Amino acid sequence: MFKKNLVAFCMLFLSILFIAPANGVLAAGINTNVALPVRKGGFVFRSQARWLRATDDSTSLDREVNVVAIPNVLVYGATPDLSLFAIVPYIFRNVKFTDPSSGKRTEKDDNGIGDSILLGRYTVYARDYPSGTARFALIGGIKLPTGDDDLEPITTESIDFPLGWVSTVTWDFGRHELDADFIYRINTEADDFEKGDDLVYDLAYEFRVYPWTLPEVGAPNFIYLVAEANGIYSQKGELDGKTIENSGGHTLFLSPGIQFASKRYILEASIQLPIIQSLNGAQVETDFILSAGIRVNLP
Amino acid sequence: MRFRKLILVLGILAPALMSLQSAFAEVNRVDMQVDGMTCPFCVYGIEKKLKALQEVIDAEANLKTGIVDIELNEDESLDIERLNEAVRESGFSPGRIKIKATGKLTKYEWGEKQYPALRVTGSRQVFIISPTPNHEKEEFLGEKKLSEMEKATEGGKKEITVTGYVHSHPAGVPPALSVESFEVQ
Repeated sequence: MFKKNLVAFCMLFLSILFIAPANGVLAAGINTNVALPVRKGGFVFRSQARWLRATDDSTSLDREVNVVAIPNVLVYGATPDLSLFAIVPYIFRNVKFTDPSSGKRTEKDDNGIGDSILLGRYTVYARDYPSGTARFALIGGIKLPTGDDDLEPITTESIDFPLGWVSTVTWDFGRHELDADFIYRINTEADDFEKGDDLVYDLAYEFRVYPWTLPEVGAPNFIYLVAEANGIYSQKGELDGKTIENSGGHTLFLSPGIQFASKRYILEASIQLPIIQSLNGAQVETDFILSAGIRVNLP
Repeated sequence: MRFRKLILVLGILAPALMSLQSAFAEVNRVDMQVDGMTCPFCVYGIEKKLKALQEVIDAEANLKTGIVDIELNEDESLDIERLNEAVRESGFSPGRIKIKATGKLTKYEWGEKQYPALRVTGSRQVFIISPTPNHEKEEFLGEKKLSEMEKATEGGKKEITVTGYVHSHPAGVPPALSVESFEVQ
């Protein structure tokens, strides 16, 4: 019962912590998925630390939520067109609120493994040019309830199904890159709780600022400036067959970032600032999501 | 006494050692166009796939030109289809392959015809010298150019270094070489 109360108590826009960076393992948008290939038989590892802070609570609970999610992604190139992704996040959550009965400020900490996601991405269109590439891929998979129960509703008992597409276009020998994705996640009911479906949409533009001019030989390290728009729309959830009015809505982030890319590593950082938060009922509004991460081409 | 024997042994071995050195294959350079390369993180997979081939010692991508410089093992022959497949497996698109090879002009029998060919020095690698262009933009070897090559090599006696584009033929038939330029040693 306590768990169910907590679910209703903590409904937040948290899907974006995991869905957006799920398959973006090659150089490109930091919070946007990409359609660039992983070599057949090759592995790429990505890990991010994503800190979400939400403090703007209009209720007397005056909730203050801090979540640090660390989605770890291992990608395998099954074929040049098919990449398989396994995502296992680790999550820290801290919630502060004013206890309505005692009026005292109360704090709750939880941490543990989050729900795992298995994804496949299949390239259905690829056109390569000497100066760039244009690609379109379909992605789909399954979210498994492997997470720690204490972390509900970030974790859920349900098996969910993310489906969507992702596209990447690069031109002018890596000077410019544009990525876009559109992912719908069908969230099912489990344990009398159903989180509303999510729709995630992202658009990223990367501009190479270093080197300004490519050298005559080799593949030098790149530095990109990244500008992204990351949106998420969530339906209202349901608990015991009743709609949770204080759940769901629409949030759009503008996300500037910077990325360093070498042959073996990518280092990146981004801050997601909400410019639209149209949330249903009384929910805590997100202040920002700060992320820093690394991607590694495994030998 | 021992010193004299050493000199004698070295004297005997020297010609053999020198002939071994000249037996190394002389495909001096392989430049492979790879389309779709956009960033250093992407080219890692291409270089890795190419380097995994037995015949490749090193592969380095050039993002400015979109060309991968490939260094071949001296004992191995160039297998165009294997290079192409390695690039495809990395998720990118193989383009034209340009080589620089040193050898002697010879003839290769294909069916009932004999074609001019280049036998690469120190290896079994043979390129059929293509009389027709494989790609529209390439220069190709016309009769005039072939006679210039034969004359310059004194009928194939002298070594010649040829630069040009290659493309594969059906299994068992040497690849074709569309000559762009040549230089007699």
